[in-house]
Amino acid sequence: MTPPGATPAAQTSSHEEEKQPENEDITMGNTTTATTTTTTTTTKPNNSNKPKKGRELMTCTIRAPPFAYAQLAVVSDTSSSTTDDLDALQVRAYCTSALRQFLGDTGAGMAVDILSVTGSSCWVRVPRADLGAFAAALTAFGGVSSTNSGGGGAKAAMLVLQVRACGDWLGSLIGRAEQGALWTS
Amino acid sequence: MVRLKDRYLLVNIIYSDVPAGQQSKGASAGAVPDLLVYNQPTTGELRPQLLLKSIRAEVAALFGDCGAGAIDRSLQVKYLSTATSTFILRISRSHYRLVWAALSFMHHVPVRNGRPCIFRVVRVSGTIRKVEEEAVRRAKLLILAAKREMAGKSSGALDALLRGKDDARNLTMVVDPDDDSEPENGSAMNDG
Repeated sequence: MTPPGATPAAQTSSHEEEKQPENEDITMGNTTTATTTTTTTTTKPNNSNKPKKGRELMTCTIRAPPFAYAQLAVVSDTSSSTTDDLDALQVRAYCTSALRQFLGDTGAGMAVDILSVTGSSCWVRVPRADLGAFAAALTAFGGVSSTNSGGGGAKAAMLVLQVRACGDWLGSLIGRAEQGALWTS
Repeated sequence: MVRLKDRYLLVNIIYSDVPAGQQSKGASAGAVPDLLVYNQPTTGELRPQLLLKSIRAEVAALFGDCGAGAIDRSLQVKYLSTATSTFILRISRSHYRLVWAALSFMHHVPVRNGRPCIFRVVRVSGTIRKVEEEAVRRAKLLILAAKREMAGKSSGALDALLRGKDDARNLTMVVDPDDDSEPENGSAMNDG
């Protein structure tokens, strides 16, 4: 988010950073804040005689961030069973088995960092070039069967991993997750 | 109709487990030159189907379901000669590196009680004609080099490598950048 008094050059850099050619954020559409910024750029006349309110110190355009981020959630296919809370070891086990099944040894060697685990969802980080393969591997994952402690003889529910969000910029992903929680809670 | 482009790999089988009795110093009578010890004929049990099965299994182990599906349609053994321990594989252009990597990880001949060996890719080309010509050329060079070694003129493989740029380049691997009849524009789908 740029301050109001920023010059057009700095706003151009934020406009570029929203328009990633290959890895666009997949969940719900563009944030309104970003589009407002770009329309301001195009309609403001570039009048160099007017004294500028702010002074641009540095412009930086990040074209290729090193990592991509994803939010995963464990869901059960039957509505009755309650999913236990996740922990980091379970996330690591699920991810490794999904990647190994889909991509073999090279997949099992992919560098996946688990950033945080809360409730039944977690945030992970992968190298940017591997995001497509990682998301495909988790989508193709058949799931694991959960062990139901109560009700002898009840059939085990399948727990599958769901990719809630994935993209290059962690801040906007978290913002969208919180934004979605506003409407659903 | 879009052209389906392939790559042809020429692969040698090199044997590195030389039994102790065959190691000879110098060209005494009846001694086999080192070049021929490494490039031995392969057992007749090796069939194209066995080779294919083992390459597929190795690609599935290394690259999982995604890799196995990527090469499944186009992987084919075009030519296999156990006498010269040479075979030619056909693979689609965008995924030939998967097969090449799998060959690097295979360490024994895929038959029952197979000997330890090395699968060495010596030529990659877009047309099978160039690969066949290369196979014939390498066979001729191998015979000449073996004869030279038998006659005692060269003292070993190192000497053959360092002899001169012509000879050294003859037996090293060359990857043809564009062996297709029309130039490739754009990059093919890369494997992830």
